[in-house]
Amino acid sequence: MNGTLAKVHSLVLPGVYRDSVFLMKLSDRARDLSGAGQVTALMGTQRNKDILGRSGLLTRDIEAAGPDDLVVAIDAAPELASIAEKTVRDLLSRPPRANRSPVESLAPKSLPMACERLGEANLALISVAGEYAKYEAAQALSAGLDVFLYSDNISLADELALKRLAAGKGRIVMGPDCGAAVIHNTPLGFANRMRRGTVGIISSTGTGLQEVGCLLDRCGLGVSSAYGVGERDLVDDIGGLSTKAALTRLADNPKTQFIIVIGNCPGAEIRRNLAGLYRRLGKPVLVRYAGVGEYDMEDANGIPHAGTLRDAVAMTVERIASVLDTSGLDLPSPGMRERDAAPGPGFVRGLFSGGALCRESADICRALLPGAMYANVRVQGIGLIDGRERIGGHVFLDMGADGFTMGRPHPLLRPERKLAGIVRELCDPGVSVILTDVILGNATVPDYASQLVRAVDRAAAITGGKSREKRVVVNVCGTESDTPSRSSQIAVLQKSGVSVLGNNARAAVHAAKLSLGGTA
Amino acid sequence: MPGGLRAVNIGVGDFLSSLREDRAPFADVDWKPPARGDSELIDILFNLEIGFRDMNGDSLIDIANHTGLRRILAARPVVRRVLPARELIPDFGENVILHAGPPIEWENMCGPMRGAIIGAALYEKLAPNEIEAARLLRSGSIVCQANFGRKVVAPMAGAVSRSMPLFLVENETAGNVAHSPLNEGLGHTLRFGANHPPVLARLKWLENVLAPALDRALVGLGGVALKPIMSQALLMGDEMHQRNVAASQAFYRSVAMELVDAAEGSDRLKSIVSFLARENEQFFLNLAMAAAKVAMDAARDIPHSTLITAMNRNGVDFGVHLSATGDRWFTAPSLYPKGFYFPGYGEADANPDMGDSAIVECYGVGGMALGAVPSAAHLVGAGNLMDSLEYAFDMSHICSGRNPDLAIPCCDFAGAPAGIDVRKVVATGILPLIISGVAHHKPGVGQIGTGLVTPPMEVMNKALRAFHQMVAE
Repeated sequence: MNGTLAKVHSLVLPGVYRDSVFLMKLSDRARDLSGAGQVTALMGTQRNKDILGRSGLLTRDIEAAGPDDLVVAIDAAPELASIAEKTVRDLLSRPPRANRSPVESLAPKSLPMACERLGEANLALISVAGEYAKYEAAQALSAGLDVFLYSDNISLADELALKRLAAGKGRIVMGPDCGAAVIHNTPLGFANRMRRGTVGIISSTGTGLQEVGCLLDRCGLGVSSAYGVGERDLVDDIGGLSTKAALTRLADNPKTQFIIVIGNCPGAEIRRNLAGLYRRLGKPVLVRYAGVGEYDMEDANGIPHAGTLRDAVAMTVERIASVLDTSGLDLPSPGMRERDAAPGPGFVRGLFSGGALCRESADICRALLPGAMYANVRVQGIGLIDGRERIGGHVFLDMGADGFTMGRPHPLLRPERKLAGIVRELCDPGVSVILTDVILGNATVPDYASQLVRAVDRAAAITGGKSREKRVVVNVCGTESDTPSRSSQIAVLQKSGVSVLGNNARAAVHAAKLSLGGTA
Repeated sequence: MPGGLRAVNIGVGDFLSSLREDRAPFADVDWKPPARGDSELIDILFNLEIGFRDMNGDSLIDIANHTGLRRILAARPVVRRVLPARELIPDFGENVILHAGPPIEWENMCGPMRGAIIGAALYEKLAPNEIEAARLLRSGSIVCQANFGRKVVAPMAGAVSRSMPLFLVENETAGNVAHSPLNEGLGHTLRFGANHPPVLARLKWLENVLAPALDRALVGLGGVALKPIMSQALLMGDEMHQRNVAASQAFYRSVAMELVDAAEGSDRLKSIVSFLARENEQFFLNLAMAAAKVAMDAARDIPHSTLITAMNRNGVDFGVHLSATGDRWFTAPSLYPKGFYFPGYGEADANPDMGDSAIVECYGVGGMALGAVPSAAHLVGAGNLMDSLEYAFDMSHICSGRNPDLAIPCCDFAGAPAGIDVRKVVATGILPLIISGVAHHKPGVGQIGTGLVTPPMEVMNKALRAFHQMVAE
């Protein structure tokens, strides 16, 4: 108040220039932000020193400063003065947020610039071609972001390098070839709108995550977080780095009470390693591994395991919310009229949009069907094909596999190839059942069910109605919160005579039985 | 992730639907394949991103670049003296003439540079005439050396000889120094390869009249700080390569009073005032170059740093230095500036890009600060104001940070981008922009236009490859 020199704190920044209007604005802001009585920033010209002198703000330091020096006089108690000084320094060095500048309308052209623009970015969604995606992912991890890596065609060595970088920085790589995740309740990739809840999911495949999440939702359970980790995360070379990172996150997430791990062909070493980790985690873990016959290591560690994605959900409900009704898991089931309309014996042709559903269906059918069986995904006891050749026998194709998506969009984004495949199979006289999926979720084509119905009609037109004798068996993977909702898509399919089953495993069983010529 | 998702998207735009619905903040990248799709360079960039980390997982390259950036921003260039080159540069041989850009032999020099070198030889009376000078240069009796090794920066041909006056600019923060000659002004000049008697007469005037007066004035003042002038000039529409109107005025104002006494006579004073205050709007360019040079030299020789510490051209090749690779030159043929030609001239008359002046772009002004110069948008062929803002935005993609002391009003006072990172240049394919005068390819014709030019991409690729090889070993 009395402006004695003792109270005035001063700051001299040699050789720093700002224009006077800028400095007046800065002075006011620094005063308001810091709570100091008075902050005055000026260039150290004689005239300005005179002004400060008249206000009792001229200190010895300011007196000694030159016209090229920026001087700041702060009239405040010592503790406020130091806050004010810091505020002044921040305001001088902080890049202004260019809110209304024309530059703001220009899109950032690199990941670091996007981070600068966004401020405090914590996730990168990367879906460009694999040869480029690896570099973008490395940049994102380096900048401290988690990575949702939808891109495929990334080498094992590059995947390992990325995941090691992530581990070193406490980040996670979801992927590569990651189709779905749920973070902070927001579905990423193709993930569905799922209930919020207490179950954490870790999945090697996007559709596996979606199927489990949607079935939980149907039972009334919800998801805390769901991490896709990439198809190869559990091979020994990668060592489950993303699975482990996800386990750590779920263990640390107070909302998570139960964890489901959906893995794909885990290596022996990593399996043993993980079994111990689950046991020590402090939260119950249930596993479902594709391509695993005996769950001996898990049994030895007391880790429960499920044979199908559906059973993983049923067992989870039983463990954490046994009062909930699980009958919805298997609904709808085919009505009487459908049962009567069984086709004659013939091959099953499965066309899927995701690896987990394809693999599980092939695995189930292998146990039920005699004769040659082929798939473009690795399943024990089934011939591996690349999927583009015509072949007799039961065939299961993941249309979202690398071989189909190199340079092409995924069938969930552009389903034309998958639908053309369905038409072709319906026109094949050796085929009796088409087994396929309708996957709802973020970014998927709107009203895919109607497109599927039109494909079935197209086949009927081509075959003069003969394809109507075949059955089309479908699992609709989705929730009532998806747009369109699962029930609305089921209605579209059922109206057109497509058999809709309650889950992927049930659909596979149904298809196998129908192809044997019996009623399911 | 406390505080919710904040996502950057690279690729499929459909994936943003859920973020939009949930009102999660995101930024969608206007993406192009990195390194223009070159898989070898992408692998190098990938390796540099993945490896070379300390125990905390932090990138040694990022840390080194941050150190470099800090030194650049901390530099406080002050012009202290104007003295003959022979007094400032140790062992400046009597038969030595310096030139701009990476080292080049006489036989390989372009026309304007040969003209300037001959001019300097005549100026030093190393030869009685042009023909004899050329003969001595061919025979090696007169030796040409690059300015670079002598801590000199000079525009265009950059010819500097022993008796020419040079500025002594000191970085008060780090104590390092650099030199540049006095700007000759417009019209026929040595820097554009002219060497006839009026050109040499003006050089003599600079040596005998302006230099001693300016030196006395500077000594009297204890030096003139250059960064405050540059900060102020940016706000007044200079970018300090092509346009130095405000900066030259501000510098003149700083020394005007002292010059009155220092000039020693009213005739001399009149000629000095006329030159500084009226005739030479580009006078400050050479000071900006020396200021940039001391700042950039402070960031040299930092292990693991991918910052570009020098860019210069000799009229044939474009040369680049990286901090970590020290004095090693990376070169590729210079490009031709694109822009605006004076009446009667066109691209066919142009010489490839030339001069040490791109040091100002290394520092973050010139073409890097194009947004600061609305008036230059048309002159430099940027098209319109929005284009020049877009150029400025592009430049921020290839730099390590911003210089808060060099605020650009048109960009909402964001600091000029500072610290060009060769990794970012190669990754984005965005090249630093340089605003440059265009020389006629024949010696002595002079400036025929002004335009924008970039380094050749190849020079950046070479530098990155060499850096990678060095750190990988």
